[in-house]
Amino acid sequence: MLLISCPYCGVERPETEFRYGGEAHIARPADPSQLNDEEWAQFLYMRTNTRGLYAERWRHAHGCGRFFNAVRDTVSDKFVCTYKAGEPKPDLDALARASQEKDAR
Amino acid sequence: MAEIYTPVAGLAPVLRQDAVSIQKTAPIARLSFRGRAEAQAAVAGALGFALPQAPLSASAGAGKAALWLGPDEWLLLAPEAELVAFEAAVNAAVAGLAASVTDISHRQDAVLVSGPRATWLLNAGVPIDLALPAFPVGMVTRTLCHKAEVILWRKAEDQFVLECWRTFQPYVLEHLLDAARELSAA
Amino acid sequence: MSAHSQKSTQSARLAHGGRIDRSRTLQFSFDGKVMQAHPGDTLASALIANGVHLVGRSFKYHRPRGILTAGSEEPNALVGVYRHGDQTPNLRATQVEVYEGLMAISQNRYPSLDFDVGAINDVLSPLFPAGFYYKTFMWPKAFWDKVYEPVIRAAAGLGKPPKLADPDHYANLYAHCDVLVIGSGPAGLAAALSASETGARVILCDEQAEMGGSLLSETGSTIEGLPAAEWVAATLATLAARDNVTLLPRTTAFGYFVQNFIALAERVTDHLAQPGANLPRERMWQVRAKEVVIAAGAHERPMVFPENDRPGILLASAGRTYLNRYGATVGRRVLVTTACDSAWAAAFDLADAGVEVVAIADMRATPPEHLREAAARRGIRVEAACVVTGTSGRLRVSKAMLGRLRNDGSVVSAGDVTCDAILMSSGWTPSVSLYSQSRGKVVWNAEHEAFLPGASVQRERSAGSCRGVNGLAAVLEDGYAAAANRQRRPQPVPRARADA
Repeated sequence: MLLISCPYCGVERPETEFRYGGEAHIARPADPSQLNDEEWAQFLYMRTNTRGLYAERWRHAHGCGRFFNAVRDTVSDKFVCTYKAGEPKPDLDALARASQEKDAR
Repeated sequence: MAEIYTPVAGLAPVLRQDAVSIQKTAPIARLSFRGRAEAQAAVAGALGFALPQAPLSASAGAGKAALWLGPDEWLLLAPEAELVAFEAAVNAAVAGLAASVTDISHRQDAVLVSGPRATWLLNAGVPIDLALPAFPVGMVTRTLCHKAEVILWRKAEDQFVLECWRTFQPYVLEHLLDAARELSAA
Repeated sequence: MSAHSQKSTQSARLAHGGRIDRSRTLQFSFDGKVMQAHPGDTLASALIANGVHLVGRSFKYHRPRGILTAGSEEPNALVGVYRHGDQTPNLRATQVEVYEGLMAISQNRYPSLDFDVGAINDVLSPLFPAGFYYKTFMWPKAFWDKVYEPVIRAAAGLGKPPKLADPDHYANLYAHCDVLVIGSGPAGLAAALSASETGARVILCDEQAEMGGSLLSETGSTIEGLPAAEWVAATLATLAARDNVTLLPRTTAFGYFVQNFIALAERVTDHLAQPGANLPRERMWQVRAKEVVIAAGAHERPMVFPENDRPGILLASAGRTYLNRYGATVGRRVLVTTACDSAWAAAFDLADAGVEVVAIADMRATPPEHLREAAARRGIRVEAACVVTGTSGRLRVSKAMLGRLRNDGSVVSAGDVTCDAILMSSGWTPSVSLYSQSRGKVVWNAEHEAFLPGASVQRERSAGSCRGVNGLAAVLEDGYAAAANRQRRPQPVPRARADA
């Protein structure tokens, strides 16, 4: 069972308390009626789906209930960090380099 | 200070053994409060004390309690007889401010789980660390017990309040009773 | 029925020795035959003590099968055990604990173990290469439903599934600890001692009913001046007295999941003759540990030779365990075939207990001098550069054909020996399963000629023979170091001294 650190509760909890929320930092179009079908489909369905560090949304469904964001390595399934909703997206490349250096040591 | 949760008078405990007992608690007033900073400050007047801001903590006073469930969400508790007045006071305090106040007194029920094996029994279904260093007296959290969402509040080293939605309580109690079977002599 | 009035059925139980409780005698039955045993016996040790080695039939060819090991790695002794009016199939006799009235049956044989018509498959085996069924059983078409399928279905599988609903209930428990130690042999016990000294929450689990691992079969070694088994008892008492320690015997760590989430299966009532109705039959522990120490030990390897699968042919350490833990001898005339040192200890222990060891056939051209001397002192015939080239004895091994290894690798006949048991050992393979489950990659080690755990992916460390550390003193030190709190002054390591 994954342990996930909730940035609001300040504790790690088992994954069963959480729900996955897809890729993070995808802004909902301000005016959907201005989009054509292809652009709308792009917003609804297309995701980066990175092999590696990925910024994702999670919700602490059976805890504080809040949405928050996380950077998780989709290959190793390890969480690199979690951060509150509204905080800016971390530099994934810098994080990847930092964790590679840590592993090499 | 008066205890908010009391066993139901005249009702036999759900479970009574030396190692652990489970008792249903009498009805109380429950309000689900959500609000931004201004409303949070305003509620203190109706409560008689400030809302606890430290995550997973609780504050109590004068027969009332406020349990931190989220960064802008508290469960407010008061004696059942005071429900109408309490709800009115809280609503008045946050009038015009960004807040939501909901009476959930009848949505949830609570049991007291007490005894030296209370932690052990809860860990049959609750997946978090309930040892004192990890879950000290006074700590409160929403979590899971098997598949049901519950609120756990540690009142003493050997006592927890276990709140859950009314219709889920038979499920939760049945699982706890099942886990407690082995504590009684064959 | 009164045990006192019965003549003992235990023809292979020695008068002394073993850790079983000889003051009480139990009755159990295997394939309807009632036999005697003692508290502390497994079904396998009890059968061996009763001179029974034939316990099953192989899957496809129905070759007679005997007990091979003394542990959970047992491939042959799969039996059904009755409980609540129905039987659970495919249990390893080496893990079934005997209680008064235990009823067990063999599997995959008709009409009986001794006479199994399925053995026709063995005789006709040239006609049954792998995949033979792809082009057979097709004609006539009607025969499939009425003849072929029912017959094949009846012949398939090993045990029979139970027919009654399961009356037992099963428990779950979430647990958290600072250190989970898996395995309670010397490395695990040392790790648990070290980890719990500072008050850290420690869980120590072992799949066996009695904790102590290989130390329970040790004869020559002392630890801190105590015989190994006594040190085990003292250590377990120390651990049991510590509030921060949870001891879990009969508990297998079977799954290593992310972030040190480990699943343990505790067998709560299978060993009880009259389990209380309120007890769960098993309990699953879902443990989150800050640190894990894997002290899973090593598995002995068999010697490879034609017909090495007859009943009466066991691993050397199993022979030693049945003797030292259960006071039972695997035979009256025992041949030892080996490529390493450890099997010699089995030979010596058997000889010292009065069992005839017909020879030690060591594949190596020059086995160590101190071993040859110890064998000579006991009058045991030693054959160097010697291997077994075949055996005979349909329901029990009765003879072994020896061969001499020449320098060019060819083998010439070196005569036959009459024997009723063969103990074999070609070395030890570290148990790296749990480490591999933690997503670590094993690494080939040329010096040990084995795969050893590589870098840790999770917060875990392997200790002892499961990571290639051998020799009791080194294993104890390794276990201690695996769990020691490095910030404090190092505590003294238990001093071990091993003979031979």
